[in-house]
Amino acid sequence: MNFRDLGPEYHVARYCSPRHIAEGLTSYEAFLLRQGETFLSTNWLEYFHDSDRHIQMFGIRQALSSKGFRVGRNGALAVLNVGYSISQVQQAALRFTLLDQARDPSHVGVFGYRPIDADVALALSESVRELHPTA
Amino acid sequence: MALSSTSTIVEISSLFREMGEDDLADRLDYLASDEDLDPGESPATDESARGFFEFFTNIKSDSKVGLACSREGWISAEWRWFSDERRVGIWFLDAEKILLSALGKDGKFVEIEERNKITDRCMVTPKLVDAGLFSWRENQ
Repeated sequence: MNFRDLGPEYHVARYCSPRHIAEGLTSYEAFLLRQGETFLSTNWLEYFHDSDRHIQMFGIRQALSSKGFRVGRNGALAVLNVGYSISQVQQAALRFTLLDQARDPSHVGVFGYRPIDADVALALSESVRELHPTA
Repeated sequence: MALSSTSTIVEISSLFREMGEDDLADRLDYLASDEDLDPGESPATDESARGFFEFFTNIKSDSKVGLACSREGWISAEWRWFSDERRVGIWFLDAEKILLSALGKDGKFVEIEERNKITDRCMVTPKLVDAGLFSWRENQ
């Protein structure tokens, strides 16, 4: 295993179920860890292309689909900038760690908080920069 | 119709409509349905809706509220459309228990010891009012 933390210049996307989008914004619900989870699953945009969002989003949809993850048609991909999100979440020392998984090489875990840490989820949802459709 | 300890989410939605809160009723209907459910997700529960209704009908806010739903069917409500930096997120686990996060007018987390704990709704509501995040409705 060769884990490494992403630098502040990079971006990740978090899949948000349609039920986690309220009034056009991502709910903090989408960033709460469930019981037993130790990290939040996201995908690294720059793994697919340096800067082209269209290619990045296409790559992420493919990555989720290829590992059998069903995404709702009305869901969204919420984009976070690593440096900005870390700066907005002052109550935890977050790390965005590339998990080096063969099935999904773009898979990034956001570590450093617990399922009870609603504050972190709230701050993370505030730090969302963009929302993209899943289909 | 009034809220009872056995009210269903459908009945609670009707209560919101009687109050003129059609957007909230529509959203509750959606969260209670199977529409857009991802694998492993559950519709919103009656107990959670009762907790949200009790809270909403006790407090007043100048922000609209957005509703989402956890995989377990627990409603999460967010008040994030204030004109200042206030923001409140409450997860209604059932009719009594909540998980709270809240930012004050300075954009910093409010000093309420129940933050980030599963705690009792009735106990926390007065503290949210004292912190200036909400005010009581006229009927209180």
